[in-house]
Amino acid sequence: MTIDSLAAKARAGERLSGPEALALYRGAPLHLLGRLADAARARLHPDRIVTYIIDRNVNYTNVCVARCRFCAFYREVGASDGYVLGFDEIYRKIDETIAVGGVQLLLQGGHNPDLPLSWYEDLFRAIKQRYPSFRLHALSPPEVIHLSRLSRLPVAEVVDRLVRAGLDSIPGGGAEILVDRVRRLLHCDGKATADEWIDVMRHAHRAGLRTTATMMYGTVETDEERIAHLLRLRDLQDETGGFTAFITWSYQPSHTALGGAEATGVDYLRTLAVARLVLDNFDNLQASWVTQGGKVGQLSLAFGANDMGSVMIEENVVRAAGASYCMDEVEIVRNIEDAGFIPQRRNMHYERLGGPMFREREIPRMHNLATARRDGDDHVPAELMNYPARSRSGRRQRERPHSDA
Amino acid sequence: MTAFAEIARKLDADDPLSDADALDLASTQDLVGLAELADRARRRRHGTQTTFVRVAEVSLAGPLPDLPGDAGEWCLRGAPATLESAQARVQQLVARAGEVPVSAFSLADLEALAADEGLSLRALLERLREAGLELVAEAPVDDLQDARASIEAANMSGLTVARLTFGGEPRGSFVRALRDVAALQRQVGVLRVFQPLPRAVVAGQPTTGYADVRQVALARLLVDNIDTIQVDWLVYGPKLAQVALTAGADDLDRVPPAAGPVPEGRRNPRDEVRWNIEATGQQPVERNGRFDLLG
Repeated sequence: MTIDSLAAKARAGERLSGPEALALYRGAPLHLLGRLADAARARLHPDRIVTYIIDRNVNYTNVCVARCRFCAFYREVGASDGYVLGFDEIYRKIDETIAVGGVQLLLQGGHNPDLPLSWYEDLFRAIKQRYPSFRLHALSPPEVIHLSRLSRLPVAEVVDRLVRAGLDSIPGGGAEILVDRVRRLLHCDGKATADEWIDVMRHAHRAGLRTTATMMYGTVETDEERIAHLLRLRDLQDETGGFTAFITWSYQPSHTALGGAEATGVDYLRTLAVARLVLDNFDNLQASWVTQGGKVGQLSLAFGANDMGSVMIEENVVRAAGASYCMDEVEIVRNIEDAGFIPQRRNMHYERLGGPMFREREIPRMHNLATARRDGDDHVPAELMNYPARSRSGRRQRERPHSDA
Repeated sequence: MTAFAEIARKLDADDPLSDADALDLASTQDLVGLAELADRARRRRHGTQTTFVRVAEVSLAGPLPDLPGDAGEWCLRGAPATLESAQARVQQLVARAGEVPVSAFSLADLEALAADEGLSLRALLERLREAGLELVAEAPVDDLQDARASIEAANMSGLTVARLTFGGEPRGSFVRALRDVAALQRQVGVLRVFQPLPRAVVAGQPTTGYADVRQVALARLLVDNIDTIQVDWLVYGPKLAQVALTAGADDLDRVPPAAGPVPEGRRNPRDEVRWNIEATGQQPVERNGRFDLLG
């Protein structure tokens, strides 16, 4: 098993085993990994098209009981800066997203014990009623598990109810590393074990939903565990074919309980390239410009990525941990074209929607990502009164005079 | 044989690259292939060693700050208004610096100052040398009135040009600009360091990662008579600077000296730069502004 023989195998498009992938990951020179990954990308996407989506990342609540050690976004129940967005706030964000050509909401949030399943169902139904063609790419396996526990319903039934209410697809967040040893150290096994995460995705795929898959590396995992994570995703994809894309990013350490330092740019490119080679049944790999910045984000296109992710419009989670890059559609397209590729807008299913929106009509430039709320806005949405709270602070909150934003 | 393979053969044989070769390299979409060629050229010259220098920057006015003793270079930034003020500030800094090399000023600003003072550039530079200056901080080749004459004046006055730079993105063909740099070095023969990425970043339209890597790689391949291809750690950031080390760069400039508390989620600058270099499989070696290796 020499690097040369493994490279020949990868060039031929043959499936790599775990040990083979690990050997390449550890031993192959960066340039070789890049060439192999780029060739794999080109086999799947010979038209040199690089896609992106215009959507908005909305975090509907930062209140969370999971308390993952790597997270800087969450607030404990009862925290003075904990929030839940109101339905009207979310409608406004959707309006702003549509105004710049956006087609979906990526809606995620903390595991808030005071938001029952009915809140989500009502929100999704309301959004679909107002915006019938707008897509809801929402929640994550850990959030689904949280709702399953909260409602004491099986995961499959929770997924079915959310789909009936309007859920269109599920983002692959909360995967971190799909190895329970790592999850225990990160204190995220409570929100979902590796098997539980995989199981939710299996249910989702069987229910007809497409989902993405992710990996957050650079905390406490070993190289072997990174590869093990990829193999778990590959196995499920073999089984269901339900993943549309894979996104990997480096842990952002600022303001987290875990601390530490961020992995390097070269580590990111190596990880991305190996992911392209291992995930031979995934069509799409997204660049993570939000954690790597625009320059290394663009360089991802030479190391296996064929998609520049989302314009995002808003981002709160990674920003809380210190990453604050911003790329609007103009900048994303500039970077795609500068790399010699052809930009195309897409939806969550990677269906092509056309060329850049700003070439069709006037779109204001965006130089900073929006936040969930303006500083100091601590209003409690009126409709929360309709949903029973489990926590004492939640119940006290419902007793206070409420307001609309 | 592909164009790349032929170019690789020429590089291995130390044969000069033609203008057609240069254009092939500049226009290739195979960024990784280009980076790899440049990396091979870099390894032939420097092996796996990557040097870095920690630079403490000082302004022209105001009391001298407490300067870290572990900086490898103290650098005076800004355009001096008069020769007298420039000399005074250099003397002040040199007196405090001890063994640490002191660099100062842009050669372009000194050209302008010489004209204002009614002196030849050489005469002005000699006065600065007498004040204790060792290094001209940078020579922005695209901003110099007469690059050859000015660099020769610095050399004859006993000063070393610490870095040949591009002030901004080169006007016109980048290949032409690099060929001109190589031609300049053939004329002057004293340049040790070339920084091919622009010093100034255009707000709202930064250079792209592809452009940066391409420029560094082309610099290594086409300016093969300047030993060191350097990237500015502060302007380009750890991630891009690190990737540039895999595309022909062999030196990192303006690493901040450790001073004050380290930001959360970060290592101290020396450890950060060492970690980034090691993650590319290269060996970090700290140097000072004179290129004395510090370990």
